[in-house]
Amino acid sequence: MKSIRGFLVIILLAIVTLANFAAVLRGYLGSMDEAERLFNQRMLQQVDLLNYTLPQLLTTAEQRSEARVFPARTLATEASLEFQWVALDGTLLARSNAMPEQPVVPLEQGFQFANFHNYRWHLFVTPSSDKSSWFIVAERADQRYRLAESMILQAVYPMVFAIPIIGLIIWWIIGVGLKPIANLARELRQREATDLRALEQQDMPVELIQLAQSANDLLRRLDSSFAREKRFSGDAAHELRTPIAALKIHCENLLHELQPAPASVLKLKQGIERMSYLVEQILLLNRTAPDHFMGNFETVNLTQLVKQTIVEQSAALELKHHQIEFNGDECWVSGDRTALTSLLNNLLGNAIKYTPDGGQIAINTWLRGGDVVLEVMDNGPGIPATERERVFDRFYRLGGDRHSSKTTGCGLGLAIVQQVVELHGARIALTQSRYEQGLLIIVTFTACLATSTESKPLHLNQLLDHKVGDHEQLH
Amino acid sequence: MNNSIKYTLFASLLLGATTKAEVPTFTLEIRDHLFYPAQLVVPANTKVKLIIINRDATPEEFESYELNREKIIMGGAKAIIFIGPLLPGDYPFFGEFNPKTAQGLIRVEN
Amino acid sequence: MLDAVLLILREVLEAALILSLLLALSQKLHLQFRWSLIAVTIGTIGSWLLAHYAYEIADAMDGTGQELLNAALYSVVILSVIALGLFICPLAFKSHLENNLTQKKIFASPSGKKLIYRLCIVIVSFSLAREASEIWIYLSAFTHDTEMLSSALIGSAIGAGIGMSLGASTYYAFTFMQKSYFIPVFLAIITLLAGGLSMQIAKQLMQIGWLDSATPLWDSTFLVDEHSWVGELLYALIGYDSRPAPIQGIFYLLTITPVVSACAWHAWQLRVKTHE
Repeated sequence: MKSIRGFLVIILLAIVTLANFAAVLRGYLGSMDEAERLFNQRMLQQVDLLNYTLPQLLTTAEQRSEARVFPARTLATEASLEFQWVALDGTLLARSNAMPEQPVVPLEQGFQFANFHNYRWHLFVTPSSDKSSWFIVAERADQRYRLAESMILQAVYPMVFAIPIIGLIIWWIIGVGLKPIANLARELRQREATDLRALEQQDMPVELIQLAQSANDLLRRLDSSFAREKRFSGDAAHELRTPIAALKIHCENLLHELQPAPASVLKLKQGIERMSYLVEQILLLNRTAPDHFMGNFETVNLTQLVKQTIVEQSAALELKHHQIEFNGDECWVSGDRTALTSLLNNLLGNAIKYTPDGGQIAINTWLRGGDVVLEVMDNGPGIPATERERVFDRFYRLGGDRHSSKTTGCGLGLAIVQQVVELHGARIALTQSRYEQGLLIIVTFTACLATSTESKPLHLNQLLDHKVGDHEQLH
Repeated sequence: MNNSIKYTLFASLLLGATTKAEVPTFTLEIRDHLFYPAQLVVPANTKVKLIIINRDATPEEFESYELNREKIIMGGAKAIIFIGPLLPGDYPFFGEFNPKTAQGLIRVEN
Repeated sequence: MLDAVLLILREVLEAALILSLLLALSQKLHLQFRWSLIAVTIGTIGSWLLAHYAYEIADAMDGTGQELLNAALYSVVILSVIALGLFICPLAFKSHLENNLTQKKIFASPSGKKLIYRLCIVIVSFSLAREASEIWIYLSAFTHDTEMLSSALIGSAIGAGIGMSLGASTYYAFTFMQKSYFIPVFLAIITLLAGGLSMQIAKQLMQIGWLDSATPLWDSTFLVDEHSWVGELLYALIGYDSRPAPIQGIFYLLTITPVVSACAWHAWQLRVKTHE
């Protein structure tokens, strides 16, 4: 059974059809029997009529050598009654126009059939009331049958034409009856992934209450296990912060105490820094997860934010001798400041990290109609087209751990970026850089009008073609 | 199993071929949805060939439950049906498309 | 009207029961139903062609064309039914766990599925073409007379309605049947059905004098009249004949032999295995 509605409609319609048509056939057979009786009755009446009129003609008939022929009827009718009047010796005394000149059947009393004049006839043969002659009353079988059937069919037509209408009604009614199921399905479908509230059971039919209860039970358990899981990664990362901070301090102390510092301590320091970075990234990933993001959306000056980010990353830029270029319009978007900051940090951080020393990096913010376009472009090794889907996966790094740039990372950066993009209903695309090689990342937000709550906007001339050099500070 | 069917088929084919010449033939006509003659007398315990000619413009189906035969005869066409050998008795037949009028009887006599 | 009801019902019922039986099989074996659309389309077109060329067909081969073509159509259906029966047979004689494995092995392969689809299409379309061509010819007999045509049409609607309703009910009756019961029942029905159809071949050949008829093997008309309601249903389901000629009996036995012996062989194998 693939569909409850299909099953119910078909089976109900089949039952209705069978019952209805069985009734039709029963009625048809009964009516035909009744019609048969009626037509036979009519033949008997005809015999009465012949008995009243014909015997008076007997004397004149005997003087004639030929049988008297009664003229054909002038009124057009669907069914006519014909007759033959036969003497006891079998000679024809009289006949109606449509009958043959010889008696059509042997003279035996009762109803009979005979074929003549290209038709099959119903016959009634009976002696006259004075037993001195015989009457044969004849009626065409096809006419009699048609007349009877045309009468009965008037009752049959509506019952047959009712079937498609009944079918439509059944289809509609079952649709109405199954509505609560459709509603339940729609409610479940439309729910957000994070929405694990119990289902409303108040107006539910009894048949669905058990289902809803079970579903609610399941939702409750799912909710608690979600909460546990959510807390775990966040809590774990958070709990790791304190021991890492302690490790950091001890490592610094160690560096101070052991002069000159041994290589292994320097490596230890690097390791601790990596671990600390990883924990921060996990916390960030957790915080920006759309399932349970607790952001504070406001109107943010994206251009301002980009500049801040460049300033914050200036030390790293300087270290690798990168050229950075910043162009664009002043753009405002509606978003969470912290999340957007981590998005910019990750994008710029990646560009700095993966572009070889002395590379070129460009960040642009453009106003394009109703959209704000953020571009981050470098002339690093880029990402092959085939890998561009996968780089957003958690802990995925291009070429695995043997990353060509030999830089360390944890593979969470772009996953965080994508989460932030999702949170803001923005789109992200990776393409070929406009430099001879490298990567161009385009994030498209919906633009937002500037509000006075934001800090003082920059002057226009400052924004246009604002080049930021290696050593230039914005503030 | 196909082979065995084929085998029986061929055997009876040969059988049929040898007896074909002596089969007595009877003709029935259909006119205005009536059979002429309406009653046909055929010999008992003999294979009989019936030729049915449909003089009407409309198709008719010769059908007999007792003879276990049914065949559509298109308007103006001729059909051949073999019946028997049969035991003596009455075997009614009718035209299935016009059963009210097209009725007949095959009487098998010794 | 009643004549039309009976005539159409007889033709529709047989096709509808075969279709519902095979649809139920598809449902039990988790196959698609799309083949049925193809089969019904081919069958309808085929039936119309058969009706359209009825004169030429009847005149062919010294006036034996109609019977020979019918016999050929019956043969194709019978062979397909036997092939399907042999293919399904192993499923009826396996323990439950093994059953699933066998089914996966046979039906997961695209060629296995394709074979079933093709057999189903052939069985349904050939049966439908033969049955429905008679309906077209029947209705063509009344085109000159609107009154008789409307009577015939209303009778056809009733006959078709009853036939299809019975088919639909049968389908759901089978789908609610447990699979372990369904497969043996299915096998039994299609085997008997093939046997019944083979009797029709014998009848066609007797009609044109290629086979000699003789006194019926038995006459069970007093028990179930072939032309009563029950008789028609039994005829459509298992090819019931109340007065079969001896040669028809032979055809019947020959036709059911392959599936019956395959079943017997599988049953024996199963017994040997369980004894081990």
